[in-house]
Amino acid sequence: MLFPTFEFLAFFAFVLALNWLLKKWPLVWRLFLLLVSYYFYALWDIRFLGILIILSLFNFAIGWFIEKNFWQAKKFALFCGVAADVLALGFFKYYDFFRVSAETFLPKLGFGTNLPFLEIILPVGISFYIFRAISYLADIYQQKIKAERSALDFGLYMAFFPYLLAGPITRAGEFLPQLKNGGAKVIEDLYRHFSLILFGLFKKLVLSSFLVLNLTDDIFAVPENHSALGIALAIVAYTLVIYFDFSGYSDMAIGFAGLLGFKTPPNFNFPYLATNLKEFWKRWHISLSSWIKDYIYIPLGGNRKGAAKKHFNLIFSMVVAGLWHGAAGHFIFWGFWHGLGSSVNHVWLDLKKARLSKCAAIVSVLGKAFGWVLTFVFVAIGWVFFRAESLAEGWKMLKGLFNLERPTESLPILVFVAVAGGMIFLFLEKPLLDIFSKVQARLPFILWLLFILLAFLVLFRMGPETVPPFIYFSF
Amino acid sequence: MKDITKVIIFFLLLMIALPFYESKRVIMWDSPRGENVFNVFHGFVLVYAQGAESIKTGLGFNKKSPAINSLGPFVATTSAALGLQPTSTDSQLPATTISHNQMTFSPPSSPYRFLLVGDSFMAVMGGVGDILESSLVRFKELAVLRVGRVSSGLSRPDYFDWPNQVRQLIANNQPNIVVVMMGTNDAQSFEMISPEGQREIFKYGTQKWEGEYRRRVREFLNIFQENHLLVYWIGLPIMKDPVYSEKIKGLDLIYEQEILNFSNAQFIPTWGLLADQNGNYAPSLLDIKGRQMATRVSDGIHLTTFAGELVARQVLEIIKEDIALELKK
Repeated sequence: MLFPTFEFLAFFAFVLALNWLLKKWPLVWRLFLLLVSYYFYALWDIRFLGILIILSLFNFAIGWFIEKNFWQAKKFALFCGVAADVLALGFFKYYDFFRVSAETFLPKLGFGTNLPFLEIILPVGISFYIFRAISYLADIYQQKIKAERSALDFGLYMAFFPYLLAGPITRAGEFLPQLKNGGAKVIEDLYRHFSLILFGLFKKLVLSSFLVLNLTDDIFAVPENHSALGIALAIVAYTLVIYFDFSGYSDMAIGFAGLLGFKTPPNFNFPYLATNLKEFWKRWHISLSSWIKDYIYIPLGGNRKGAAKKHFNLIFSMVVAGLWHGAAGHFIFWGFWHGLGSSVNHVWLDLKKARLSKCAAIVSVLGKAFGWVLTFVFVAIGWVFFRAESLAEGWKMLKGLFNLERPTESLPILVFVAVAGGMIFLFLEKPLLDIFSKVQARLPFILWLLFILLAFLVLFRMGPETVPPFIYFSF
Repeated sequence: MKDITKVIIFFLLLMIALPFYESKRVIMWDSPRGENVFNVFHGFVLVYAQGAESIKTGLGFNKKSPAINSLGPFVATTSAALGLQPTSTDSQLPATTISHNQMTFSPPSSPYRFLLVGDSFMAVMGGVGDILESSLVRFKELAVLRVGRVSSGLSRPDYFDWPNQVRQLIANNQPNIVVVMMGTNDAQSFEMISPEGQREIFKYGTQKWEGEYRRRVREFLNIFQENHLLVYWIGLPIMKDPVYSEKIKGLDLIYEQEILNFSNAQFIPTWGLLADQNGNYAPSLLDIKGRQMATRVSDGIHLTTFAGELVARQVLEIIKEDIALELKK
């Protein structure tokens, strides 16, 4: 069940009513949420549920083992837990990549390969819940949190349906306390949650779907058949698409969780307004970037072991972020591209801090505008490799930008309007979100009801004619 | 009023209003490949939307779709293609395996203007359409226009009206060759409205359904014949789900049989190309380097780039038999 579908809304209406009704009995309430989350997941494939339950039980036990520090082996327990999680992820996500790579290279070295072909189906959401599990184990080891006593609560932490399929990668320290004593008794920020759901629907159903269907899919598929202008437009459009698609999903997840009484930190904080790459990564997919920072970059030494190590750590962490999306050269390059960019950005920021660049201080406004353009272009180029089927296809796309011989194709005017509108929306999203929430709060109940109802009807009518998939479901 | 009460009232109202207002879309989003039977919410919304459609029709809110009304009188023929019980007329139809027709149509001369049309196999990246387009644009004096629409086919002109779309595409772009690949969404029932305004559901698998579907295929092919286009119709490959696969086999047979009536058209089967040695579904096949490569993405329907390349290569070889293609420098 995808969020912007009729069946999900029916499912959610059912869960919502019972969620608040059952809170009087905290155990029943938590059991109910766990069961509906499992039901939600099993609808994709019942086998996925088995994997989720096994991994939940395993990590619950390891967490307990780490905390108790049996045989003074908590470090070993952490290692085993993380290794098993990574192996599970690796098996489902990377096995075929390694098998094909082995079959390619080992014969050249004179070795035979006996790796069998396995028809592996990637369990949707596994990258997200395994990262949740790893952060849970690491946080217990670092004594940031206590191991969860209730297997039921831990199961829910792993499986909570609004976050299950594509995050956010919530931390145990944020989520688990919200299950205690029957959880929240009221819905906080009701209007904000509705704004998030509606903005998420608008970004996904209207903006992203339109651009994918009418521009990006076609041009990215065969760039050699398109003009430089068409390719440039498709690159900008895809930069918008990936944001609208993923942040739209996250907004909806946060909104739906909020209506059930759960607080979730923002996963996107208007990232395309960033004026440098460091800021971009503080605003983009925050739950993943902060995970990478806390569990890879800092344990590697962060910036504490000299400049050279810091830059290596930055690039390495970003390559891991790229690999997390999939075992393919273009994802690794995307990670490397951002790692390299972040590294250069850090050098620049250090220089500024050291006041070696007086020029930058004098023209700070111009500098910010330039920084914004530079960051946007840099990120957009990175998305080309993220979106392309392979590194070669990515290069083909970029080379097409300089092929001025091919005549410009006739694109519908609506495509230009959508790209321009999307760009403007990036700047207006935050104030519009605030205004939308405030307007709701001032409306009498009946008017509010009609207003939101109308908004849903209009958004679904403006949406595509097919069930829209989400880009991040494949990760 | 408490916020919780407000929200619950809202969602109850939403579930009454939204599927009613969007009943057509609810029905359309119902997958022809079959939904999970345990998804009670899907079933509930679908039944409610079907009821809403009847109410709206009864109240006169549903206008007749010109696309459906223009289809003319129903034609019912029968065959074993869909696994129907044989009838007295079945024996007159071709056997389930037929040899390819040889085109007697004169191939067009260069420049070649290819029109590629179809469903997700043509539309989605890593399918067949984009790989075929990439392969074709490497040749001289050749242009390609690829128009693919996800979830489309000949069953639901109310969603995407392919006959009218191709008429416009032909008028605007004057292609001389068309490559078609569609049908993955077509094994579904459709609603018909007779010239007298009577509504009738043609349930998938019935004789009426097959008769009407065959007529649509012929109508579609007629458009190309009238416009003197060379047609290559790529058949659908074997599918992972055996029930769905049988349906696809039936559709392939319909295309193959109907194409026999058109001298400008050729059917290119892919069933065996993506099956194993025993004719069963093959999740992987050996590539040129002897590596086992996956043929399908996780749904067991859509192709990986590797399988897309296998199909595109076969199609290109057949096209090259008919027209002279010269690589660009």
